Amino acid sequence: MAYENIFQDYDYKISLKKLFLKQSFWADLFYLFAILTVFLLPFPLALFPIHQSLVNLLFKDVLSFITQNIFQVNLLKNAEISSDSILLYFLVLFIWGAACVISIIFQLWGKWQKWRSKALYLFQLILAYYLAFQLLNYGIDKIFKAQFYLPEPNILYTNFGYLDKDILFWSVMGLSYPYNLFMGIAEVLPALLIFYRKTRILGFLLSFAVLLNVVAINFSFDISVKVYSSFLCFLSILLLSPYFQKLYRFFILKQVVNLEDTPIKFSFIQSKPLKVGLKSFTIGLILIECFLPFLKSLNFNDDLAPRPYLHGAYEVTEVFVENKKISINQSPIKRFYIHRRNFLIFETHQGQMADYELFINQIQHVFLLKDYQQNTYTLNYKYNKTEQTLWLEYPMGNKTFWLQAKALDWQKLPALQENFHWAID
Amino acid sequence: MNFRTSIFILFFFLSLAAIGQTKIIWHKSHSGNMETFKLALKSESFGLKYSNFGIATKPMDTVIFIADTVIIAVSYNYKDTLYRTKENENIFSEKSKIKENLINYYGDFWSFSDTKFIDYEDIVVEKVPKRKIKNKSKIKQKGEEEKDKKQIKRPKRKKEEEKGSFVLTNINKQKPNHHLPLIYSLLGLISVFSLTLAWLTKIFSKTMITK
Repeated sequence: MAYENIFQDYDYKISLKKLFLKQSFWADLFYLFAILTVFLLPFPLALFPIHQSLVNLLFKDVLSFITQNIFQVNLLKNAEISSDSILLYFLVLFIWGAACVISIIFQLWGKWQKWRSKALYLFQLILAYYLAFQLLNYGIDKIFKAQFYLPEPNILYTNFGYLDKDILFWSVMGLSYPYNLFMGIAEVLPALLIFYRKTRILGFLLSFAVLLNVVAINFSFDISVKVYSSFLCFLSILLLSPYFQKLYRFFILKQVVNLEDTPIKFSFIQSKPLKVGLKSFTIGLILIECFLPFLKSLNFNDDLAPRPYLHGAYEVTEVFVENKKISINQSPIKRFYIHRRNFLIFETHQGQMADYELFINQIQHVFLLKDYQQNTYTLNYKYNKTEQTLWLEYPMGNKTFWLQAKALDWQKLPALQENFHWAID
Repeated sequence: MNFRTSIFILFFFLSLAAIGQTKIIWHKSHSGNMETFKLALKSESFGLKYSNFGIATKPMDTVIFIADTVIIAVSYNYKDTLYRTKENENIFSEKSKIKENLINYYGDFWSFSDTKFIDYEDIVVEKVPKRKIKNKSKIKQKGEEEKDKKQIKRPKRKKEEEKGSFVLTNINKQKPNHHLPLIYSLLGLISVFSLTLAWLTKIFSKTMITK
């Protein structure tokens, strides 16, 4: 499907039925849907956090009302438009509907033909930069180990089969820094190619391959970024679509083709210096957006970031009830873990986990816990730094257990060792 | 040093980098299950709102000084209150030196590079949520709780008495102005870079035409 045909294949005297058979209608629809999604999807931005707030302000209440009252879908009290939430699906549906309506209006509007080429060219430019930005964003996150972070001790000590596929995948990815680097570079490279006009088509091709893999992972491992990754993949296909015919002729029919950098010769800005200045400023903005969280924290490898006080895994070694030592098998807890983001997790002998939000009062030596029912508990603790031993009070029924636990050297676990073998013997 | 090592664990968290994940993965990372996920979603606690699209985001961290006797520290999932004691009273001694004192006192654990001081008037403007105040008194000193309650709940009435009060905030997603110096510097840098490139293009184009 040649790009020129999409723009020129147009007839004003058409019925609505015929309209849906027109290539130009579908091209308009897809481009409009993509551009509206780019502007209306509440993606968190470090430079423009107001965008997310604005989208939520505009759509959250309206969509919640429509979802609950028209579609009879029950939403949670704090339902928000976030990745793979019900409201996000409805937002995408709304954007698709809006794009359909606008496309029909454009098709029936005589003056649209005059502006169409320019508008679609502009859309394509914006979408290309957006795709590059997101590839760069996710790629840099991987390089700095911010996306697939080192698994927490509670995950490392959980039996493999007890973990869901998504957290399992996420944790396994977090184990290898070199693979994160590779994946990060694999995303950064097409982004950089897209920025440069002459390598843009190659960038689109590479980004399609990378994003198709991401979509496959998200669907196969039930990772809840399905909508957004699908959208990015759709974007790469859409941006490649004008070149399909030529690529087919080149790769399949082995014909000689001329891959033009842009299918239509069009320029909004004639001045070359101005064009260069604007382009470098836009790329600079994108770079700031991607690097800002890391420049703020000055942490460029999350694996090496300092862990908080008492963070780690503790194995119960002795148990006391009313000052009497009891058998370790009678202990209600086998291990407990202190998560780097303020959670305390208890593990029973049967491998069941119970997690609580944790505040540590180091002056009074108490753990303040909160469960999901918002109940709060106060547990006394004592910590011997030299022996790496933590004493923790554990009330259960009428009894109060005192658990003596030894810190486990979780960083010595085989999964965290940088082993590499050229040969097997 | 004892007191130093026993101040807020929060200060560690403030220096940590953001990590990216989805809401469900964040929940499962601390061994939460799907049954408790919906409960966590309903709650404002448990830090779920800071995970989205699997990308790194910065959680909201705030340390609020309500009066010269109390600090309320609020992180995305950590709240605590520090009262003035004999051990830490030098922090509160002079408002003008409070930042310096805090650096000396807690500097081992917490970088104050991202910290912004806001005067008392801003407390009223910001309307420090009562929820946060209700969760206070994790660190209690006898006889000071009542005094503190009065200071916190009726800031407007006690305005004259609380001239020394201020709010200290750290990285806050809802306050985009927080990193303005860094952001302005970076924007300035790319502007200069873009202008230089544009100028070089112009010079280069002219040279080519001349040739």
